[in-house]
Amino acid sequence: MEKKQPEYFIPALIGGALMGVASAIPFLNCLCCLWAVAGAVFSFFLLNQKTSFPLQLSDGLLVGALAGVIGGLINFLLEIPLTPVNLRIGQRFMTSVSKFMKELPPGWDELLTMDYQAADFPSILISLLLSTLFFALFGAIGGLVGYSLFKKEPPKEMNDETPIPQNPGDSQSGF
Amino acid sequence: MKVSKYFWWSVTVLLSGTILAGIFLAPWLAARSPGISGLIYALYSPFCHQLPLRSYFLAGYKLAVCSRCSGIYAGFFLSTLLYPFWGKKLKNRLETRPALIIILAVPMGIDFLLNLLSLWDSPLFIKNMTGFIWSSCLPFFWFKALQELGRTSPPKDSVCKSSP
Repeated sequence: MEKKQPEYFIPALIGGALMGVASAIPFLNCLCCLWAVAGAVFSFFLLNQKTSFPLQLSDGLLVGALAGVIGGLINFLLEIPLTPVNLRIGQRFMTSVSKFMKELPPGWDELLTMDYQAADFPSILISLLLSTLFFALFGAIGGLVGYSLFKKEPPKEMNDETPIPQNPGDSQSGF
Repeated sequence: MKVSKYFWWSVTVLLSGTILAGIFLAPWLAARSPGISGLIYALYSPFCHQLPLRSYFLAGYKLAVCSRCSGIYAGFFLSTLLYPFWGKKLKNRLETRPALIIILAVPMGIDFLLNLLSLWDSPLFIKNMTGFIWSSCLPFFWFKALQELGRTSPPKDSVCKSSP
């Protein structure tokens, strides 16, 4: 008996788009890895809705990782125009915060005066590969979280561990 | 299968260890090689706000992620590293309770919400520990999922047992 394969792609695409876009938008991306995990949780939720049979933990891992790869690519594309904007917003926020501080934390000055510099092609490629890997890992973890939240319990007859008689004599009582 | 179990464990230790090392490498390289350091900071930026006020510092520079995220990465790495040393019984108990992922996220969620609503400004250590506690349960489910993926033999119910 072969294991039924759920269709991962569409749920992963939707969850990946969610995580990629949310992780790139200024202010929304202040919630740490939440968006990467939430996107993968959403992917698992969609997969669970679409699938009639109970999913396994490994399905959560796979759909989450795939959503992470898609999210990583989308995030990377969005980050290209948004990085200078993010930097400026961050600097403005830090400038206003520093007005209320007696002493600035170390490294603060440099962050305030930092300019955006466009990266070269090899750096962009390495950054794309690594960021996709990061998203895939967080996505896989999100898939596990999704499983813990939305898993379907298998139907009772599947849980029944009634021994199947190996030969006709085995089914008789008294043995 | 023992080989694949140890293979996945080694890969996970290597990966999570590298990611954890990157957090410390970024500030350490900041004065020595700003370009590489900037690249490392940029890599972690989609997953963390990287605010200096919420981060630990090393060699005068903030770590690549905030204190809570540092806890998350450290918890995952340490728990992965210790995974082979846990007893089978404990592993089975934890692995069959995926709700733990949600339960252990509760302290982190409460701390996050209280900070967000300005009801409490938790110290960095608390933020760090809430992240650490949550992520330290993750490797149990991570390895269980990988084991399920690596299972090549057909499920038990489809195997025809021969009588002894």
